[in-house]
Amino acid sequence: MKTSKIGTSSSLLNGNQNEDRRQRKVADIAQALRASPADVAALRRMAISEGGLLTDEIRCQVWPRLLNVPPNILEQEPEMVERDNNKDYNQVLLDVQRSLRRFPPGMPDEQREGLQEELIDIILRVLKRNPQLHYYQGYHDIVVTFLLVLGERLATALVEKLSTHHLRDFMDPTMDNTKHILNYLMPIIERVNPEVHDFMQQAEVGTVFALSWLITWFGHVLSDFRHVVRLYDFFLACHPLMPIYFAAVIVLYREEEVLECECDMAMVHHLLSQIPQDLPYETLISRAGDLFVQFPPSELAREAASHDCMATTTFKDFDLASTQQRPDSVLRRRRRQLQQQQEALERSAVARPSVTRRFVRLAVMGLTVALGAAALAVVNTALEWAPKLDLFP
Amino acid sequence: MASAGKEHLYKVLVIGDLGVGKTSIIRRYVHHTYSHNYRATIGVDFALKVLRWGADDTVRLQLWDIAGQERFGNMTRVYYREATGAFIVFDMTRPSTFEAVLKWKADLDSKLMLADGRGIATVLLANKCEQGHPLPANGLKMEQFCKEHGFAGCFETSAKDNLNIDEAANFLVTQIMASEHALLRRAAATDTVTPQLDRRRRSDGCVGCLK
Repeated sequence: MKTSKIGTSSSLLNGNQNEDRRQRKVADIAQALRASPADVAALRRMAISEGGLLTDEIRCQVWPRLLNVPPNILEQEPEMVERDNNKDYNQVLLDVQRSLRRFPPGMPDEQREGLQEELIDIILRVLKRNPQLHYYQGYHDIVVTFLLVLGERLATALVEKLSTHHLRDFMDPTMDNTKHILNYLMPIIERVNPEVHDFMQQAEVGTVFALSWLITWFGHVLSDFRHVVRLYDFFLACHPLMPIYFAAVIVLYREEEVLECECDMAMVHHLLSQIPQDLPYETLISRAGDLFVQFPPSELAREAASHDCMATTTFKDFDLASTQQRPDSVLRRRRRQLQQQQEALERSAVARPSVTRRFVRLAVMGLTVALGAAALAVVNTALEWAPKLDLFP
Repeated sequence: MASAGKEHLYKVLVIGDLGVGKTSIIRRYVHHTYSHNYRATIGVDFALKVLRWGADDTVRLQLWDIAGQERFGNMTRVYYREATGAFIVFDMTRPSTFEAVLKWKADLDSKLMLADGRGIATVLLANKCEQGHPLPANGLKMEQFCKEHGFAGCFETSAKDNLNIDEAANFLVTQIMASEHALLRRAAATDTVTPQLDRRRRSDGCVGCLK
């Protein structure tokens, strides 16, 4: 934050400071990874804060932590999936064939074709292992992102976890829950800019323009892979509804364009579905975090609809699990039991202003910086938000 | 001869199974380009084509590119509203996409109906014809198929080689205009009845007024 002010006076200094900050962040991430158990709360903050996780190399280490996937998954040989008589194969093949643009432009055809085969395998494998999940067009856009960053084995594990949690609603037999999640969009916009909200309502544009954003985590619509993975850092560290907050932030960022548009369903849909490629991602990410703090899903839920969507309810369990990830050896398990007893003791001591509570404050400060959120808003809603964002380890 | 500079706005749906080339056809028609790496359409896309029609009329065609995956059907329903024409597309190299044509037609008819109870003007497009696998049902048989199932016509198209797309679109516009005229005539016909009814009512009303 300070650098942006100094930056105008000396770009060289700014460059050095950026490099310094980057180095510091790399070191902080390494430290959080070295901690035993890994400091997932710190890793989440790193993934959210400016620049996200910086490199794909770091992502390979941190993304599994954020999703609570044990590192030893790499030792498992991925099972082969029969393609003949597979109900999903034809559709997956058609979509994967049409995903050329998701691969780096200079990549040799042969390499790309190999990755496309892996992409098909991952999708079919996850679907076969989880018969309750249904493929949707756009799922391949999510999977290809993980494949390009992590390679086949790790991508399979992470995608499977993601599919049974963050993406679970999109993989129902019907899109009803997805529609329900899209219903959060307009209430968020209304809270920030009623004029834009009313204009969109009058145009009857609906929310389908944001459908591909939501169900692909923007992978389908952003052409620069660096932007896609930056957003994935952010979404992996946040509540599963964060992509809809980010969608709202994009609409709000384009407020002037929207209001200047002809108030007609087709024209507004067309305008909004063409996502600008030069969005100020870091600013928008911090704004989305802001909105999440100020207007948490629980507050919008009443408006969005009556029934809660599955991803948000499963997220709590998942979240609990990911805070307790540790290497799976006997010695550590023993220590873990001790720690858990300790934690349980601390948790039961609600009335006592404990160490935990002081830690919350610190963590919130960290988040305030990371998200650029107004301190007051954070304090007001931190308790509501905190359990979801792992501030109570 | 016709009223100078008339502007028509028509909403046209482009539907059919996934991967049959709906987006490619629209891109070819509107932007005059073709690429083999179009992405799958998720949800709904939209494009506008402006046509000179006759001497000095203008036709603005709103083309709605509807995702082919069935699970999006419930979400895209709202975009069918007020459409006056449709292309149903299939891929000549994949028989299953032809088999799905009737499903798409039935779905369209169930969602949209003109005031006179008929379906909207619909044209069948047999796309990827450059790959040259003639359908089992072609030529005369296709004509009969169209007649039987309420298609205004059928065109073999190629978005890749730009074959027949303008022709198909012009044909659809003609069909839309024809059914529009038919509706107007019907409306006009009912209009001549309405004043009679009105007159009777008005006389009642007038009596009431005079009271």
